[in-house]
Amino acid sequence: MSKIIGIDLGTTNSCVAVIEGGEPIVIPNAEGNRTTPSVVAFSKTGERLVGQVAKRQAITNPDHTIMSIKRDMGSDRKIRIEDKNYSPQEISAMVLTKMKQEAEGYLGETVSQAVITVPAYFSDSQRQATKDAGVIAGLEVMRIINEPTAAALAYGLDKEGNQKILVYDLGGGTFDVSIMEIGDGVFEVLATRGNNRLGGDDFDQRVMDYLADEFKKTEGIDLRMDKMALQRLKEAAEKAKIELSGVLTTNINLPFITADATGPKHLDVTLTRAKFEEMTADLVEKSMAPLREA
Amino acid sequence: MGKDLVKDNQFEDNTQNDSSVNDEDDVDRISRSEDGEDTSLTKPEEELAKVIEERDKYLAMAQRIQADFDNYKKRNKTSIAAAYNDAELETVGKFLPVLDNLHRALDISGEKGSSHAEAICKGVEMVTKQFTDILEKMGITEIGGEGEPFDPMYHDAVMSVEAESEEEKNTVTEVVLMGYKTEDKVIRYSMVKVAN
Repeated sequence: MSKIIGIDLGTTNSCVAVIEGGEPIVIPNAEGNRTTPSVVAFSKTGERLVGQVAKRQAITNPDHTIMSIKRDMGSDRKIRIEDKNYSPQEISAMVLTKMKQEAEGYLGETVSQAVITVPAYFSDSQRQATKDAGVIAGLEVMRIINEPTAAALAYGLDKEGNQKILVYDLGGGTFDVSIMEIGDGVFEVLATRGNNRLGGDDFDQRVMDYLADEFKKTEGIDLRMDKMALQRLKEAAEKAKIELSGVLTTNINLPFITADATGPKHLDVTLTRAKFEEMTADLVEKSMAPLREA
Repeated sequence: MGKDLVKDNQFEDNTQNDSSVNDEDDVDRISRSEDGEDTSLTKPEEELAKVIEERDKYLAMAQRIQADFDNYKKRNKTSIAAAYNDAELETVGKFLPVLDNLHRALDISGEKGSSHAEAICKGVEMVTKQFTDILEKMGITEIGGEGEPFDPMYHDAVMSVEAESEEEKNTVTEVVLMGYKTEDKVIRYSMVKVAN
């Protein structure tokens, strides 16, 4: 009896899960991560790369690297790579194939059936395109589920009787908010709004800007001019953001971040949750507008 | 009386097509329904079909659980060894940023000679803090103990010195090498001098 996998086919990252012993389990990919970048690339040697490996080479091979294909689902856009045209369905199918393979590697058996999630605002043609992508990937798509419905199911809200809920989904690069009614196992999306250019990355950017500004104030050097320093700032900003979910204050410690004639410079900044909330208040406010509309 | 009526109604609903049962007297009808409607009122074939259906359901459930469990066992066998290896690599990964910063410190020291000793020293201080922060996040704390009573559960006495006072006896006077522990396990005992 083969397993049915559940795939969250995201704009920036995708995730695959399976029910095991009655519990949903997120399947880690071969690199041990719970999500896989939704990135497809064709290397210079003609090899097809999907996921983290595709993302790692993106900067040196931008013309043959496809990101955020989800935004084109349901359109008749063609992606031309060398002398071949690909539809968004075909590109998405490559991501789905990768997720399928990860699941097969984990389960040790072939997988042929899947449930795939789509945003609640997806039109029929976008849903059909997603289904087609599944078929191209060799998957029988048992069901296309709305993302907020999947979220509500994951929280077990279907077992709590009839109620109205709000699902706030802030992804890496997109934001969706939905109001749903749950009753007798039926999920109805009453309203859905979003902003497809707002995500966690914007919050990281704010922290980076803050750190760079603080450093400029004390040392007079703009770290944004230094690519290596910028990369370290980016990682530190994301780490600080994550830490501030659990603690009220965090220390950003970047010794030897840069140097000038007067010697090496260090970045040592303490960031409080209050400060973080203050600098990202407008981003949260940005998400409130669609929320009120919904 | 009301109770009896309800029973009668139920009885008749379930046996509309069975005229022979309807002919029986009231007492019998009531006692039959009290025996349990399920066994007396449904046809054996229906009963059997229902039981078969249930059996299949449970069999499928058992098979599914068995398959889940077999997979689990299979994976579990290899996953313990893999987990150990992964944990080791993950731990190393946590400390790589420290190594990066040490390289940066060395690069800058080599480049600019010792003219920026203070700034370099400050940097290395930060690297040290970075290291201990990582340890702390892993739940690893220092075993110091200077001035505290000597405790062989945590301390390794490497030298004995003359106590200067009665109170100082059997206390740690100096930590020669810092020890480290998690909540329930000592990684390294701290090497200490003890007053006697």
